[in-house]
Amino acid sequence: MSTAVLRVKDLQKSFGALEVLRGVSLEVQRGEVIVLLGASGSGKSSFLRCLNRLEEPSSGSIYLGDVEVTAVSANLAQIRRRMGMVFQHLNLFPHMTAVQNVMEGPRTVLGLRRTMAHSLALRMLAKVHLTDKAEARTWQLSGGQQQRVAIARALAMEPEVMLFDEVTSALDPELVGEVLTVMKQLADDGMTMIVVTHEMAFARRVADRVLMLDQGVVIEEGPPEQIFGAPTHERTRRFLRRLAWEEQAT
Amino acid sequence: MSVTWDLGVVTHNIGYLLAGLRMTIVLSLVSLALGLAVGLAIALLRLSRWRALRWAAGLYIDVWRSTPFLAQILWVFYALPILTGYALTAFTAGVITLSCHASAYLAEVYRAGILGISPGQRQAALALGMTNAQAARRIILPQAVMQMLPAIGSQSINLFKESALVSIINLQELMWYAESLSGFTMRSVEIFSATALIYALLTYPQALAVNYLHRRQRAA
Amino acid sequence: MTHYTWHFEAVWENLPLLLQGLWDTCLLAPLAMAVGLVVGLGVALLRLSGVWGLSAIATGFTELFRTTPLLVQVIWVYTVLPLLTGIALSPFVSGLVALGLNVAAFMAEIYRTGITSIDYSQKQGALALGMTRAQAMRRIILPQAVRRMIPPMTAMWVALFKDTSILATIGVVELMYQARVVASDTFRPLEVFTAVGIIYFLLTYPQALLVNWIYDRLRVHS
Repeated sequence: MSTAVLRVKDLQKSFGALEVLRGVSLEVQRGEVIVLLGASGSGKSSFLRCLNRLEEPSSGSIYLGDVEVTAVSANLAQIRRRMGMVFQHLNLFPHMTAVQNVMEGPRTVLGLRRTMAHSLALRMLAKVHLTDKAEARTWQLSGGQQQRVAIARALAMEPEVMLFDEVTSALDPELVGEVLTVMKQLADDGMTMIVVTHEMAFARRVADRVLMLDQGVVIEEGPPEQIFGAPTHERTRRFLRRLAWEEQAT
Repeated sequence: MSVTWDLGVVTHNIGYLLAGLRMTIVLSLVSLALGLAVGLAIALLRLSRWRALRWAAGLYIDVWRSTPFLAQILWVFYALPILTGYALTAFTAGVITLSCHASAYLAEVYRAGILGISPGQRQAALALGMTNAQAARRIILPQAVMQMLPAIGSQSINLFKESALVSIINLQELMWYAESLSGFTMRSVEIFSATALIYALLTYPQALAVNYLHRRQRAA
Repeated sequence: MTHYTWHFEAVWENLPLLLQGLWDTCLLAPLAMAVGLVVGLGVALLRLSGVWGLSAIATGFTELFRTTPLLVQVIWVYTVLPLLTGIALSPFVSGLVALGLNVAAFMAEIYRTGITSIDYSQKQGALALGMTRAQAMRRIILPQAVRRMIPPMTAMWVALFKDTSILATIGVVELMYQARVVASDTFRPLEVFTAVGIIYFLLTYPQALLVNWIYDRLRVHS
């Protein structure tokens, strides 16, 4: 029996004739921070969404602890409680305030009473440094604040693993930092995280392992020093060069 | 213009007009309630997984929206009883026609409302571990309802106006009394003007509410 | 359900009569639409004129015709207008006037919201290029406004087509009127009304599909 939090074996995903994932495998240990890099279309977002079956894998298996996520009989709602997901396009619930957004999971899914859910939500908002914005409506918050609320919302479920799907890509540059700070803090606190991102500096400093995806397969995998310092694959080098240019330009 | 207005005719017979108004309000509200419920059922059929159900719901909507209300009320009152063997009272026929007619339009409103909610909302709800039912109840429907309120309000206004046509099968609602009084008192100008005013007073507040909801939506 | 044998002969034998009615229906709708388009434009211009008195009259007209049932309007025009003006009107003409005014009120709203919905920044952009206000209106605002107006206008047309049936109540010999005549003559309301329902459906449904198609196409562009 493996101690891995998440085990993925040979995950494949096709949209009709288009093969997006062509056999990706991964084992994630507790407390690890995995960063997925790759060009658009390399399959990294699809991979992440297959993990909690928001997208259906065409074949392959995924295990969350002892539970097979990909089983036909899997109780998806229960499995998803154990994974937290933060989206690129926020998906905060606009008909609720910030604190209500964070409370929603614990109340509706975990069945917590309103007062308990409320204090839990406030603690989560404190973690992301947004206590003073608890009663704000979602559209009154900046992009960075909204994303932090989204993180708090996922954290409120006390997940075993957090999935981040390009959470800073849609933000204005000045707002990216506050979100990455929160994410680094989570990592330091020992959260198991799988992060799809373009933020090189973040990957270099926070990741335990970096995976490079290209056209649906992992072409390179290793600690950040190796990937950034001495990449072996030509495409990796080209991708990193392009990203480095973008980083320097901003 | 050599006509003198005799408002006394209106005030004298206001009792009849108010009796008709009460019937109009009852007829419209009952039909609206039924129409909202049936419309929701039809909308859910339209969104179901089985093609036969989707097609049947689509046919229902097309038939009720592509035929005139007058044709519908006459069919329900005169033709349907021949098929079923059961006679209908004018009120029942009125309610059936008005609610089915409204439900066809409301079904489309519901469908547009539900589909108009960004798929990311559902994904976020599911990612938290909600079941489909929980996601629908807590996240999708509350947002959809808010979006749909102006359109539902418009349908309600149309329903109140259409109820006037039920007078044709001799249901004693407002229009029926207006026509009777006009024949009886020979003062059509005053009676019909007063009737028009009453209908306007009935629907204008609803129109204002719809405009208000519309503006509030655009702001948020 | 009782076992009932349908007798559609009642319909076939009287088809010419029904089709005559249909002809009137097909005549009324475009005429009323034409009246409504023109009068509606006038009303909309009054409303946007900036003169408070004219604007108020226009608004009053629009609100009155949009909040009262069409049946009331039709009967009012038919019975009341001759009394007020001393001119006797045939049912056809009264019906046409009532429908036309009804359409005009709704069209006025469509014109108004169409024009005012074009963002002010469009006008600013045009003026910044050096256009006169008339040129800005003609080249930039109106073309966009017209595209916004076409979907609700076509929906209005479909509704109008169905609403011609209401004129049967004042004796205009269109399809619905003939339907009632035939139904009572042959004692076969089921067959006759079903057949007429089908006729309306066959005429209206394709137009409704066209409206949907127009809505979809124009929405993508705006």
